[in-house]
Amino acid sequence: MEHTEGTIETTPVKETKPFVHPYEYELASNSYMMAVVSVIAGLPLPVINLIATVGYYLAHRKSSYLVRWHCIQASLGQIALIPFNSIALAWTLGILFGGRGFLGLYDIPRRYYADDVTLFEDYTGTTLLYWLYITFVIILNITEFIIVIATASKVRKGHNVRWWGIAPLADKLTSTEDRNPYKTA
Amino acid sequence: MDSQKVDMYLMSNAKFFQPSQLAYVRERLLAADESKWMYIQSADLKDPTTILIVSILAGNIGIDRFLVGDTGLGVAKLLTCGGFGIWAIIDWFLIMDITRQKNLEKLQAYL
Repeated sequence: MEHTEGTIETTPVKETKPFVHPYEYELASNSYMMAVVSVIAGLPLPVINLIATVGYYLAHRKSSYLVRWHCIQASLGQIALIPFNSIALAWTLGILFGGRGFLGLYDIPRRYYADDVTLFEDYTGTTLLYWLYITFVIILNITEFIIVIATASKVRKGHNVRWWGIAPLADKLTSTEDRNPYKTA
Repeated sequence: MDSQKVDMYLMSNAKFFQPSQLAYVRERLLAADESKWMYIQSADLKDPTTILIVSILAGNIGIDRFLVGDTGLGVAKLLTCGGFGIWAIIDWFLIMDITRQKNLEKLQAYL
């Protein structure tokens, strides 16, 4: 019977780093800028930033892997903020137009039915817990705002910024397929 | 086509295409037939900067989309007042690239 002795020699696979055009860094950086600039359009609505970043991603579906990856990371970053901002908005609206308690859903304030009160009375829904939560959300948003701007500027310079907890998810979600229809030989 | 002619064309028209696609454009132009030179030179390419200015000033009524040739999207943008302001902002960042892409598509017709 034949047998092979020694180790089997394999040809080492040469790993080549894909070429990234400097222009692509600018496109990738713009995906973060979308979240910052869209604040102008809809500051009270928590979902505007997400719509803007997802819209930017949809326009760049055929771009390179780097651009798509950063678009997805930016979108996921916005998705992470949505629950906090939505609760803050709903709670505030509840206090303005509704009653007391969590989200102001019960005990309708007197200003809506009594004759002897002014418009600015009976906002007792604004508890300490509410103010603590609003402070937390504002700090969270400012932090996110600063992180996004810092990331945008770093990505523009060519650094690959990976956000903790979000980057591995972006790795999984981004397709490695080369969708560029204009390839050189 | 003659490489000198192609390089001259790219030197004067580089701003109309995406920088990352210039290599592709050059390759295709070199492979193109000499008889197409007249058509290639006369292709109506839009200036991305002009379209960006239009997008900033009149993006809310979709004029930028009409100019680059996306009539359907232009009508949608017009009817929704620039996608309630969000689409108009997204387009400030996108429209230059879209214009360059459309220019390439126009040139592609002759290549």
